[in-house]
Amino acid sequence: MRISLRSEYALLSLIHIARQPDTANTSVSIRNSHPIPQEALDEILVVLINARYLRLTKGIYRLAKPAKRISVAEVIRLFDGALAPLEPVSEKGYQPAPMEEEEKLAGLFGQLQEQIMDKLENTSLADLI
Amino acid sequence: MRLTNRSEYGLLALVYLARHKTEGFISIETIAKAQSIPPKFLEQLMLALKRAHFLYSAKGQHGGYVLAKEPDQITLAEVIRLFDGALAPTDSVSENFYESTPIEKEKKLTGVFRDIRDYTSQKLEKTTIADVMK
Repeated sequence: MRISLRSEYALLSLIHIARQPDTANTSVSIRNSHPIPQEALDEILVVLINARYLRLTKGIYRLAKPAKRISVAEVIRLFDGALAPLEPVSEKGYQPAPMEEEEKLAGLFGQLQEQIMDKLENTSLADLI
Repeated sequence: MRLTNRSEYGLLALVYLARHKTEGFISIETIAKAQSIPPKFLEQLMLALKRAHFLYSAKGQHGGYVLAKEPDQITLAEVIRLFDGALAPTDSVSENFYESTPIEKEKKLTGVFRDIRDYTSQKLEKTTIADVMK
């Protein structure tokens, strides 16, 4: 039930860019505000460009879509995969897991997942700036 | 945002022992077979559970493990914390395992994760092995 450091860095970068849409946001300006290791940031920005959350023009990063149309859930999913606490109750990225045959346990974690999903799907970058 | 195999297998072993608690000490092989857990892996988990006082062990031909507490005295939260650490999605919103993380200064973002932490721990702290064994 943990998010990775990469997800944290990605969310920080996106919030930084969303917060100042009229500023020339470069990887240097992101790193001036947030202590993100350069190598990690460069890699994360490439992933965000490839997934069409960011656009890069002459070294300047901009959101490729409105902040309210980027949910926290999709950013975390991009870096960490399925959001479920357990694999078998995940709606995306199904894989069998040890707990599958214990219906009560799987049901409980299924409910937890729904709440977590609900929260993260319904929180957009616009809510965080 | 998911449980580790250690937590899943740990919970499965406890559920099995809770269901069979009148049968005395149960061997690792029996639990491993019943719950499809790799036996070597289960051995490590049982040691951790024993050190954390969830289990008693006995050696010898009829040895094995037995619950040291009633199933309704073992919450899912404490088992998961034993194996996975914090229940929070990130340590900067954890009450029991607080550590600074990069997003800490973003109050709105940490607020979202704190909400998730709160209902996750509420749910797992009030659910015991007895609730999931039947």
